[in-house]
Amino acid sequence: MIRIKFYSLLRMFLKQSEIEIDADKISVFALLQKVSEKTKKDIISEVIDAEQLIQGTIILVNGRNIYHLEKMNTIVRNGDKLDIFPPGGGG
Amino acid sequence: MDMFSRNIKFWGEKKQAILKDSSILIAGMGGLGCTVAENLVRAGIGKLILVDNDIITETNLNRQILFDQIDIGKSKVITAKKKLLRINSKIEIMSLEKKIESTNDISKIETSFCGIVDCLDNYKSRFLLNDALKDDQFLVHGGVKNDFGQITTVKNGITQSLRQIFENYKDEVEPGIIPQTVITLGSLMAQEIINNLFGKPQLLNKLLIIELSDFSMFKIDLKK
Repeated sequence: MIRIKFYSLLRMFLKQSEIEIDADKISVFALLQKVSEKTKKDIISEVIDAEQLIQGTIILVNGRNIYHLEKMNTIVRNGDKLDIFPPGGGG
Repeated sequence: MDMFSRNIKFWGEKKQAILKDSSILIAGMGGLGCTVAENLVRAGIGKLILVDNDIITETNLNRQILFDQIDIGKSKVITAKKKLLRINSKIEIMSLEKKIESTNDISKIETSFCGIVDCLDNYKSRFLLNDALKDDQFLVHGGVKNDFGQITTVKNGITQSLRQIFENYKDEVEPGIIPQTVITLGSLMAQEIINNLFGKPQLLNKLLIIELSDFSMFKIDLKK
């Protein structure tokens, strides 16, 4: 299982904070497609534009920002944990 | 009775003395900066360095708790210093009217400080602030929007940097923000600053996300 947690605006959009997907060796993009299928909510269009992560959304795989990994092509494995959130930028 | 007698009943004389001997640089005197500063002064901090180049506008007054209508048009850091000295006239406060546009804007400040508080409103400056962090200092980051926000502690060599955590940020011009968000997050940031000063930070390699809508708090594990 791959566990994905959503926070703030995305948690409200999905009306759930966490989902588990039965998958292994799959890209973050393909994983989010599976989340959309399972939740029947278009999470893809909320966080992705032209197969790129929308600016302002942070995806962490096991605590690491995918921006510093392989971005949407980052491969996740059974047992991995993802956290997805739009950080607050105001002070 | 001492101003801090009720603090001391909780954490004792030794910790009160640690705060008196401590100095903190607050970058950004907006909603978070005002709340952090007031909390630290009432807790008993010995010295604050306030950094911001803005003047107070009417739209600041919903959440920037050190400012009133009569302050509109005045310097944030100079006004904040006056208000904070009214709370405790014995502390040392430096007001620096400057924008953070390079690491030198922080590293060339001619005074020492134990830690930095990131209360800025844009990630470009937040990253520069982090770059100026010395190995013996800590940085407590906070960011807010609408009714949610996040906090973490950064230390060189121990945690990820803000750039590593938040790359792919998007700065928004004047995002929605309500008073209870900055006052809650600012108070929690003050708690984490004090945790750091007492040698027990709780948010090293952890990102605390607070959502006021349904009173949710989450801690995300961040790997170094």
